[in-house]
Amino acid sequence: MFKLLRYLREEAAICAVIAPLMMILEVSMDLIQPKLMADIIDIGIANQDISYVILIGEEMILAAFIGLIGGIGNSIFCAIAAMKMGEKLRQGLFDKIQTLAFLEIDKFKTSSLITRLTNDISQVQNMVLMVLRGAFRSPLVCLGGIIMAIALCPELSLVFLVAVPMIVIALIIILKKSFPLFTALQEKMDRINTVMRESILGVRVIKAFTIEERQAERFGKANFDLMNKGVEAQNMNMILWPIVTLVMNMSVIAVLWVGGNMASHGTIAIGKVMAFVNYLIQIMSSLIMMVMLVLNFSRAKASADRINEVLHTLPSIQDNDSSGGMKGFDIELKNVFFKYNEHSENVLTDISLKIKEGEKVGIIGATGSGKSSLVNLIPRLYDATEGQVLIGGIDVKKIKLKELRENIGLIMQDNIIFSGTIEDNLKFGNCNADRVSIDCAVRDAQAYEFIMEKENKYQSLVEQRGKNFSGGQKQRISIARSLIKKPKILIMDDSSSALDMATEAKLQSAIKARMVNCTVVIIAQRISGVMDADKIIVLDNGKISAVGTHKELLRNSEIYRKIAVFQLGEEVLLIG
Amino acid sequence: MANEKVMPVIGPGIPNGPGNRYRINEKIRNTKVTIKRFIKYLGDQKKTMMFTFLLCLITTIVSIIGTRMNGESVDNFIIKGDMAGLYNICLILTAMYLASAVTTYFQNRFMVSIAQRTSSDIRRDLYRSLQMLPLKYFDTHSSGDLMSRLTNDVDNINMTLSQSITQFFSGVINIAGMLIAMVLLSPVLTLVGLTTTPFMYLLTKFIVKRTQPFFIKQQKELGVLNGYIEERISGQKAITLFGQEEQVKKDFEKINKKLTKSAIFAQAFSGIGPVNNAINNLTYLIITVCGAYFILAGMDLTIGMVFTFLLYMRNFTRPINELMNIFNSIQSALAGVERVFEVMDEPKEKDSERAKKVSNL
Repeated sequence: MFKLLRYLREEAAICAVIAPLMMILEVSMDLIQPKLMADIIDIGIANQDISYVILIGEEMILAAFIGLIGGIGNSIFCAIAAMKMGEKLRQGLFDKIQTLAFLEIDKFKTSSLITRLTNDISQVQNMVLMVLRGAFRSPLVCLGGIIMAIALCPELSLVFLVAVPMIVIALIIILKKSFPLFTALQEKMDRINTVMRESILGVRVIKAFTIEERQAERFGKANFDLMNKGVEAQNMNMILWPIVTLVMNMSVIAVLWVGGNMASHGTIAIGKVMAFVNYLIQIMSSLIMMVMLVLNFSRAKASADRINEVLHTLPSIQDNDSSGGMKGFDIELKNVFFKYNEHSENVLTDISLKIKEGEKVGIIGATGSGKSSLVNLIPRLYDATEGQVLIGGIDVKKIKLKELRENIGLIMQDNIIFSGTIEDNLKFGNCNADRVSIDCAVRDAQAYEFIMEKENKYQSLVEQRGKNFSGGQKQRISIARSLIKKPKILIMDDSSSALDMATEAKLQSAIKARMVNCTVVIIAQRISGVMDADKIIVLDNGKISAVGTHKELLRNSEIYRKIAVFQLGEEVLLIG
Repeated sequence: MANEKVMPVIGPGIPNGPGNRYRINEKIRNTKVTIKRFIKYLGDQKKTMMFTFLLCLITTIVSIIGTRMNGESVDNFIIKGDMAGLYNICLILTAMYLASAVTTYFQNRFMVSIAQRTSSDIRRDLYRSLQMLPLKYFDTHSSGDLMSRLTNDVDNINMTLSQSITQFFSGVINIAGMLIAMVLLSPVLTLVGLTTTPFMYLLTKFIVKRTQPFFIKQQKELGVLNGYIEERISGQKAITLFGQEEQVKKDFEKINKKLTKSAIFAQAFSGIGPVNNAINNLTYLIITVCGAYFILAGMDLTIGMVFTFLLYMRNFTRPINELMNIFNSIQSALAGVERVFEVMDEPKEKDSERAKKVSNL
């Protein structure tokens, strides 16, 4: 929690200092009121002096007014401090996420990162607001009350020696137990968010495969866990309330009893016992306020920890001193092994292959055979667990990330387009692209027609996640987007799956013509998509099963032949 | 207790417990129907809830009587030196407070379990109906909005049930108890003291009305920000592949700055706390001055009575201030309940009556 205080800087820090000062102004004006009141009674009434009563009354109004200014000032400065800090923190976290590699992002999970950026930040922000507005007040009143009480009667003050440690110990024990519980609660919360996001975003898949029941079961389990953890965590904190009130009430009784006895022996004035009880009650209510704050603190602490966890993660993929430029575009994989995390199994096993600059290469294989994982290694979305990925003879780990990614156009399976206009999306990788090259790329991507049919053409609005476009349209926009980048290596990861055969064929020949001297790697489900490639790689269960041209593979590869026969019919063997 | 209440919460975050929430007074279309339907969710927990209210009643009454007995013990026993009587009253107080600690504990525990179970039921039902919605619904509604109903709204319901309801209840009992005590002590001073109460209410309403546009603006910009976060973080791969990290950071900064600006306005000028505090101080002033005047005018009033009355007044206004906050959070929770029911009531996707089983594939 305190680590995050470094985000309280510049104007936020200044306001965070002014805010409690304003609070002190308000509190001191509040504290003057009883004294003025006593003056009215002791002097005004005692002397039967109405004009004095009115004079002091006026002073009280003035004090109330100054107090109001202090209060409003506190409110304003608190707001500035907390909101500015929240802004800095949010920006810091967002910027950090931008530097993370997918290894880390997968570990955190996207949905959890989103919760951290939204809910967790709000929690911390509220905590700061609350601390600035209230926290200074309670300890102040508490401490002041204890000092006044000791001054009043040291003997009776012994009660604090018993009561205060008891409360502090109870507080520490319960907090120690509740912190991990709240962290666990947040995890359960993440879990339910993950299931829900899957269900909402993947609704088509779920409906298509009618796996609603299975999803509902998963949700039911996550929901049940969340409920139980919630009960556990909240119950732990709820114990604090009765303990604190009980201790303080018992102290009041002790003071009454001891004080009463002392009074009967004449060692203390009765008025002092009453005043002492009043201080005790004041201290008690400020203690309860502090407990409230602490309870909220354990929630905010869990959030702060989750934010810190991200902030302290070292990105596994970033430039270093030895990063240099590229010296060619031949791709080579040397004994590459890859797995997504330590505990999972190898997705790629001992892959070695070479792709020469300008070659057209197809990759084919069953779902889960590691096709996407393989191409993800080239622009370093992930790094190989073992082995080397080389481009132009240089290990990709030694190439400047910006340059590497500028030269590689990877069009993903799940096409992500962003809200904005179509043009914004097209210029995403190359904001200086001119109209001619955009037009040309859009034509090649077979997107020209449907864009021109839109009322606002390139200026048509894209909604969040591009949900006002069909799957095929989104695919074509993302293809065009990558073409506009003019990459030296173009990788299409099953990125034309939503297009019909005829459009796909047109797309293929356009790309062939466009990328004459460039490397093109195409992952396809349909064999027709890779048939004319210079080289086809057949992946099976993370291993290279065969490499060759269409004709060679029909002869040599059992797997390839099976797919070919299944998709193209028996006659393919005759032609081949 | 001036402004222990941190009012505004940057929604749609998880609310922070009682008194810390201050949301837009969301319009609830049909409060009665919503409440009725919600009560059905409590099901067999209604009995537990009744029992919890009983516990809450005991706790509150013990605290009122306890405060009163503290004073009495001074007047009746310490002053008179009746140690046996003091001993007895201390024993009674100890027993009462012990009992109230136990009732407080169980009251909280029961409410936590009721709240968690109810919100978990609601979440389950909401998820089930979500699964049965036609695809069109998902195309026309933002996923962020749906997620927020399933998480924030339901969590809001949970927090309100587990904390605000009992606080509301004990607040009302406290106010009633203090009012009775005040009237018994001095009807005239009670009248004087109450003059500021409607004034406070009106002023609060006025401030809420004035600050609402700021809140609406803040909520709107928060929505924009959350949408941006949701979209960009989910689309991180595209950002990485196109090397757009820096640009995205810059765009985010713009949206972030905009939100901060409107949030500061919304939070800073919604300070009902200081205004209430000032009005409370004025109330004490009026009571003191009037009390002094009444005494000087020779009415049947003593200085001690004015002092006691001021104590009562403090205990009377504090829960009123809290109630206003609690009322806001209950209202916003109810709005959440209504939003949740709204999704549940969407027409479901179902097979047409003539649909047949596919028997031959």
